[in-house]
Amino acid sequence: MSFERSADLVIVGGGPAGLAAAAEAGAVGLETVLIDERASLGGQIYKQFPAGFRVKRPDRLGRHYSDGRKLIDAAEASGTEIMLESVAWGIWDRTVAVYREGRDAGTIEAGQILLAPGAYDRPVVFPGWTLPGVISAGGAQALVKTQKVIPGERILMVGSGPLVLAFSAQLHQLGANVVGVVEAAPFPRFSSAARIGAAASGNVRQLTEGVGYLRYLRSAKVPYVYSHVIVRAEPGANGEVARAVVARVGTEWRPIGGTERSFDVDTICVGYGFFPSVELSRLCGCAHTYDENLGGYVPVRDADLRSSVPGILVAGDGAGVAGSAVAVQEGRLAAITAARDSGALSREQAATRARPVRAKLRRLQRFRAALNATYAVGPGIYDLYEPSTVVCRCEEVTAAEVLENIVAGSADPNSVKNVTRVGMGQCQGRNCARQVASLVAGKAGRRIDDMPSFSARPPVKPIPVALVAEERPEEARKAEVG
Amino acid sequence: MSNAGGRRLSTHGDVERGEPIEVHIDGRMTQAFAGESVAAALMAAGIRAFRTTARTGSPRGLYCGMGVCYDCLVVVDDRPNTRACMTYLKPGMRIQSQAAWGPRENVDTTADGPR
Repeated sequence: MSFERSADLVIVGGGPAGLAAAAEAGAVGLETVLIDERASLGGQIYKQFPAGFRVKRPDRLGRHYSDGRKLIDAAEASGTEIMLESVAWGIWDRTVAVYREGRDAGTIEAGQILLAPGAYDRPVVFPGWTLPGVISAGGAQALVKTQKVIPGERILMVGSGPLVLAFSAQLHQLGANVVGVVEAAPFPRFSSAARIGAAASGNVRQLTEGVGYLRYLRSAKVPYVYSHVIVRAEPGANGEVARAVVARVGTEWRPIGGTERSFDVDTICVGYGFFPSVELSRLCGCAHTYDENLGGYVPVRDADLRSSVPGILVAGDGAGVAGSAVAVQEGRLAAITAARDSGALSREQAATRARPVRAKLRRLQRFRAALNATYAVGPGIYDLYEPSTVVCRCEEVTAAEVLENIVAGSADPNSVKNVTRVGMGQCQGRNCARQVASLVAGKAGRRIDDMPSFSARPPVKPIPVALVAEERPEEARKAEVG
Repeated sequence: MSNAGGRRLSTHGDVERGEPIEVHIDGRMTQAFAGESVAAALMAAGIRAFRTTARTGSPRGLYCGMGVCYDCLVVVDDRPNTRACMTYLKPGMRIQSQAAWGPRENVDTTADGPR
């Protein structure tokens, strides 16, 4: 079974950026298809309750629920065709290859492609990070918010930034036992508080929310520790996590000896920010640049959100982590650009439509820049491993094995990949690529932002090899070895 | 039914879970709710080690929770390497812990993993 079709605009990703883009594209008359791997729209932040759950009191579900619902309703009413449980596993020029498990597969010839893939929790490699009970903060949040299930009985939150704060408070409010919050950044000094405050004009809601969460956790007597990072997770007799060890850090997030303290836990939620999902933009050949505070490699874009490859636009966290409010405005702007480039809008019409969007973006980005400066990720995040620590979760390759197999003088992570299978498993390097790059960089005396990534290859997610052979005979060989 | 106790949180009437259903977890009939993911049903049942790895036999469970890491693999209705976090329950579904690349009771560590 296969399909072949076409569209003016294909949007990959149904989170805030993709949804806002769909609504805008529909409004200006582009024939649009939106593809998302999940069973429902909303992406991570606006993830909906699953089919079967019934919402009884939408007014009591909070701002995120109502904001998400509005975006989804607008996208669904826009005339955009929405393809759920559909994986965009490869892009060749402007052809998007789609796989729908248990149903069919096919291709869409796109006039233009908007990548809105979002981001995923930064995988942080520390001893014990593979133990059951060590969970990404985003994953834990989804479990709690949309499945109403808690991951454990004694939860420690470790990480940095406003989401760690917000999620800790939400978890506790819902009745979970949060034994502590461990923030890597220092207690906000007056200068950073003032910087955030000054940038917050017009962003008051974000700021007051943060203050409210802090006050809540303080009144609930949840220990809140600043300037500490996770250094180790230790297993109990059942092989699951039983203890978290944290240590004080200096300015670069490097643990200071003799400052360790431990928490008895059964769950550690790890939230040190996010990595943009750049698999598709890299596969398309878009130019990327490295910015640790935006999450690492991010596609280079012009002021209208075009990538370096004609016809490929990128919006939202997948182009640099900046949060849902920015993602929404970027989605709108990218759709306006697509409409202008396809001739659906004149230059003047596009400029008029884009003006209020750009104004909102400027305001939001000021606030974001202040937050990023306060919660900047320290380079010590890459040095928490021990030699025996598994770096590649899929292929179970340790840090020592990676270090031993770095070809003398080589500054390319791909050479280690070929020898050790690091990065060759099912997650396709999403969890280990950066740690490997850091190890190779360290040995080569270079910086991580000066390192190439693992090569981008289709399929960007595992799919049946037979399918690739059928759809793209010329790619089958690559997929089998990839 | 809004609150099933244990690791299922009370929803305070804001949301109702789906209909109660029964699924098989490692051969044991287990109560769950329509709409729950396989991962949520396992976590709610207190099961956090979903599988053991091929090379070292280490336990693994839910990690990224959003379909990226492929660590929460289980066998669902005889289909191995199924992401628990991205798969939703159906009545009577058979969920098995995975060892290497197959169900735990039928370990074949010589088989090559999926690529």
